[in-house]
Amino acid sequence: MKSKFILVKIILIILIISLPVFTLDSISQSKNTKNYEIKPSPKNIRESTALYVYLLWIWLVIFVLIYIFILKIKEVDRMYKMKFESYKNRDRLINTK
Amino acid sequence: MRKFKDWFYERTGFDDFINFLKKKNVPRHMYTFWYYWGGAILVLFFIQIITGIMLLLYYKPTVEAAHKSVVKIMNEVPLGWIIRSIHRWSAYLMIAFVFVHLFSTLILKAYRKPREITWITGCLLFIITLAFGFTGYLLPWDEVSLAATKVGTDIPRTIPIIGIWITKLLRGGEDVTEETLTRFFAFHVCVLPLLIFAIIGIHLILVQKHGMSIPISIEKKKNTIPHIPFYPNFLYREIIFWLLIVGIVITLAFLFPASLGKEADLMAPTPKGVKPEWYFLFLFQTLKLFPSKILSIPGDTFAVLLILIAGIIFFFLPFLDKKPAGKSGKLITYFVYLLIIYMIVMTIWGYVS
Amino acid sequence: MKIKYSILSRRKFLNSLLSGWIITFFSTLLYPIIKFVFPPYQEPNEVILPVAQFEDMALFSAKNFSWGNKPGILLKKEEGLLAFIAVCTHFDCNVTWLPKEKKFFCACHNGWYDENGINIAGPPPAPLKKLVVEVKGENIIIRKEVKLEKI
Repeated sequence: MKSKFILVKIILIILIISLPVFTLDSISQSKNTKNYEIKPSPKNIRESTALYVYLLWIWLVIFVLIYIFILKIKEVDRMYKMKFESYKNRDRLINTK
Repeated sequence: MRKFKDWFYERTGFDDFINFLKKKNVPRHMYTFWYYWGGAILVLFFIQIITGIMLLLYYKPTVEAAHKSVVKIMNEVPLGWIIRSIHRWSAYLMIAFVFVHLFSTLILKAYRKPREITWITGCLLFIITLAFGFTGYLLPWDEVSLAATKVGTDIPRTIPIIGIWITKLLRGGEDVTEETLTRFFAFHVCVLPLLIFAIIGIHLILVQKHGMSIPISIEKKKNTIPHIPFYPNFLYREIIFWLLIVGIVITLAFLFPASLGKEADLMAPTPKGVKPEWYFLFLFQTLKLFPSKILSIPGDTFAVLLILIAGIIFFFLPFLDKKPAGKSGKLITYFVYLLIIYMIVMTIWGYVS
Repeated sequence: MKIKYSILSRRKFLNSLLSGWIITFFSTLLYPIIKFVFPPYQEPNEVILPVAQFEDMALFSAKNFSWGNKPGILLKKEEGLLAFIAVCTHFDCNVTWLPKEKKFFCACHNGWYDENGINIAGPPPAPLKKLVVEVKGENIIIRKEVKLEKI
């Protein structure tokens, strides 16, 4: 562990992870009022707000992850183009003949 | 982290696998989009395993307790209805994606030499996936699913000689009884998963061995095609697709939750308007088209035999399509387009009627 | 304020961000799974039994009743009915009342409790859990024991 400011990095990472998890935990305490219709008609009674919040949160996390992955893809494509260390021995074209 | 990686690789040889993935290349061309669907099916299957095991913790597979246990899952078990809805929607999407994957490999002729066995294992996987859907549908033991199972297991009976044995095998006897439920449960939870794991294994190994198939039109145009490494370039792109799929499954499960009908009664009359699940509708509608007697053969037998012959042709397509690039190959592709349109029309017709 | 050295390289920053959000994603998915797998169990606050079932009990005899998922036992003594949760405090085995010895007996490891539920012999570390009995007309009401604090 030679790098400087290792403590700052650890605190940053913990902050990034813990904030979303804790906010979700407090929301989950609210009542889940899902009712089920078992009889012939297949309609269900509307869920409470907590479920919509959960849904929005999942989509938020998904979009953030997609954005980060797009950045990662750009990085990795760049590395491949300039034949970076780990890509040195890979062929760039497939010969179909 | 680095130290742990080195420790792990030294003992397991996992880095050989990672190096293989790094060497594996995915061609980039107009049709690369269709390469994503196979992996997407795997993700949905993984979701099915997890939600399936969770449902298995509370489901009781006897005639007396099946419906009640599903009611308990939906009412009492915390978030049970979500898990059940995710299981159902993930199943629907998995079957839909299997159709897309099947037709994309069909149209792009990915079954050409040397990928014939990959195609055959793929066809088997298609049948197993539909079997999963069929067996799983009965398990809640409600009116509609019992009726659909009665009709579905009756159809093989129309095949001469062996038909009756197929029906007996599926039903655990002449009729649909509690034995049928136990049998379907065994298939759904044990037999089919083991089968599908084995065949997916073969399918994947063959795909790694032969690499990704390049469609004929691309092969003709250039003799060298650009490509990207599978790990990490293509994998990251795939992961984006997987994230979207997970999001869509969860959204569908929340907004359109699975419902449960009245408990099934083996002695009660069949309710009106019973239809199979959407993925069987085109077959069901096709059966309805045939008149009750053609010459002296009952119409049902004719239809089922016709469908079986079509299935066999499908199965052995790589051996029948000798010149994929030539005229006969193009003809087959047009037939496939017709088939897709036919299936969609039949499904919509079955849905509406 | 420009600092001489960057705290993180761009690559490390992106990778940590990615790991962090992946962990968030999986914990969001894990949360309903955990909720599902651990269903909540509530001990009942009170159980109401008809007096008719317990009228003809001999002195120093016991009858079982169900207290939620656990067995309860009603013991008839001179002063009235006593109720306990008939689960041994050692390792969860069900105890039985032996009228001849006038003691509760746990067959698993030979634990003995006296007629007041206090552990007298064997491994049990604590007395049997006591419940409050109230006879109201046609019903016997059995409640959790509530400890009153001195104000």
